[in-house]
Amino acid sequence: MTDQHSNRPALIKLTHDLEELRDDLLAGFESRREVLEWTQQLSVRTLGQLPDRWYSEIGAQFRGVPDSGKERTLLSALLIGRKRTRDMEDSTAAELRERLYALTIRPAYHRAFRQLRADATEYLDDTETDSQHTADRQKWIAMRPALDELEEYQRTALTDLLDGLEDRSAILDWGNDLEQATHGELPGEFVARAYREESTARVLTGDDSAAARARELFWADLIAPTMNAGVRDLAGRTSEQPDAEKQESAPTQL
Amino acid sequence: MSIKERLQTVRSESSREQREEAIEQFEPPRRDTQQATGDTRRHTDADSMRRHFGIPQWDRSAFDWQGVIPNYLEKHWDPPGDESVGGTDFLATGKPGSGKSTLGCYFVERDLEVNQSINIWRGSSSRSEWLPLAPWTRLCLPANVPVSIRLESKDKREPSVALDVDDLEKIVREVVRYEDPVHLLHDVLQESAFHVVYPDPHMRGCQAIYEESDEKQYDAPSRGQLFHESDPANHWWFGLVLARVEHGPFHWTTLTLDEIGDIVSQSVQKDEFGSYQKAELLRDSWVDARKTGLTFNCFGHDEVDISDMARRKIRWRIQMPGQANPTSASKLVGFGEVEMNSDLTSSMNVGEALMYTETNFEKFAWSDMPTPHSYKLKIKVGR
Repeated sequence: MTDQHSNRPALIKLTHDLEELRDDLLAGFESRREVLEWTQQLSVRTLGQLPDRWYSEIGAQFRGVPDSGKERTLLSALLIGRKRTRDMEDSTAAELRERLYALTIRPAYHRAFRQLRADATEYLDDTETDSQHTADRQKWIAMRPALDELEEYQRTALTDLLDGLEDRSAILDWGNDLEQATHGELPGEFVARAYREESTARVLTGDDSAAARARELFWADLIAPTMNAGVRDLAGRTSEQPDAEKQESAPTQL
Repeated sequence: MSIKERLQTVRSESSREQREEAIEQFEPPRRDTQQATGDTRRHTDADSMRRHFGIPQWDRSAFDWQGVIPNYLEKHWDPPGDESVGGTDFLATGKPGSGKSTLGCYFVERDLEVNQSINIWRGSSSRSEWLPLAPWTRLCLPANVPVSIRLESKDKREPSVALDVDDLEKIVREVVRYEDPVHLLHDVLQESAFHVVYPDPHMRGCQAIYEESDEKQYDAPSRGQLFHESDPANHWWFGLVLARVEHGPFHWTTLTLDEIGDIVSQSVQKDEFGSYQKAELLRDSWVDARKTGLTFNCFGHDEVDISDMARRKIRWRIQMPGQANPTSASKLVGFGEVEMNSDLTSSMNVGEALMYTETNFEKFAWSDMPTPHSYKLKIKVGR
């Protein structure tokens, strides 16, 4: 049904993007890092309509169970079988993932749709096929280039953090990307504290696996909820821009 | 040391070896064609260009909209359907590097091929975008004025090479001198051939041609005459256009104005050189140009750099890649409407563009016309 021509392609694009993320979820993730990347994409593509609280809950999953070295239940369920450290039936994990979709993500999709429907532009093209307004040709998230720009900053900030920052002054550069990535929703002292506090700076720049683990938690617990709030703020201000990824037809040779 | 001497030392003379080494990198001039030899059994300049660059023959039927590109390119006194009569015109806008210069050269070949026109390219001391066509070029310089010539590498750290006028004929087919616009048009320019013309800083003949004109009379600037030796050299082009529309020859003629904003900028004002009056003169000549078979190929960075007086008369537009084409006529002087309702051009590649009129549009592409060297040729005409 959604493959049909639509006069309001932004709504179809939103739906397609979220269907892709649903499929990723149902298939399970290969690593904790993939989980973080997926939650980041989910934030932009739901236009920030997942509750920030949900991001905090996911963040808490990255704390691990004290003294056991195992992940918490939900995080285990998100990972595919051979990547889990906790005993869990595959069918149980699959069921948990589906419940997560049904009870949390599906309602966020509904809210995102309702938000976007107010602004989705109607395009009345001459022909129904081959139009550059066809939803599957659109390259921007929800046909809003500003959201793509935001996502680019989020990806960069996430990748740079998980890879570990070079040194203490790199924290300041990274802080600037983070400002963009959260659309200014960070607490005012955040970057200054990350720079000033010895222990935090050590986590952000450390080479050992404990620091790498701590950085995952740092993102999931402190940044992801803020980033989600930033998406929500920006999504209400964006405007639509059709941009077909493919040309309609080759230009004629002069 | 005076500043003149100092300038002399930083622009040192080049040795014979340096000059030869630079010139050797150019394609040798083509002197075996119909236009160069007068022998009609030989192939034409246009054929020779097409073979060299691998350009296929012109094919009108390839286009979806005959009213856009074929109507612009093919000149007719008795056109098919409701296509336009006489000379045509376009304004192509785009940023540097968007392919304007290559497109300009490509249109020269098509124009020679299709219309056997007299083709003129505005020469300028700072630019030489016509160099891909150098082997077929007849270079026209004003008579009895000193000329300084340098080859500058794109890499500015490389020393530039000073050339003699005689060296030019190792790069272009022929260097010819003209005395005034009428002499140039009637006795120097050749049909089916490509000319790069450098303006005469003395404006010889321009005031006389203007005084001969019955219809086109404008307020004289304070000094009393419209054309004067003290004018910026660019003003010579107004004299040339006037001479062409009033005195012929009335064979198809095409004038390529690279950077038209240099000649009629948006900010043109009444000044001691009569700049505003000359822009009016160009505007008034535009209608005569069409009727007398004179075509203008204009290139510029942006619509708004160019005087409304010129833009209002231009019937075809080309949007180069990298910027969005207009989707409303509000900023297009002289256009009541545009047919595009979305951005087709900003994601296009170099070598593609969109041509449009008030009634239609068509995307088109052309192949590159590379040169084996990366020199710029800077020809300065002195007084």
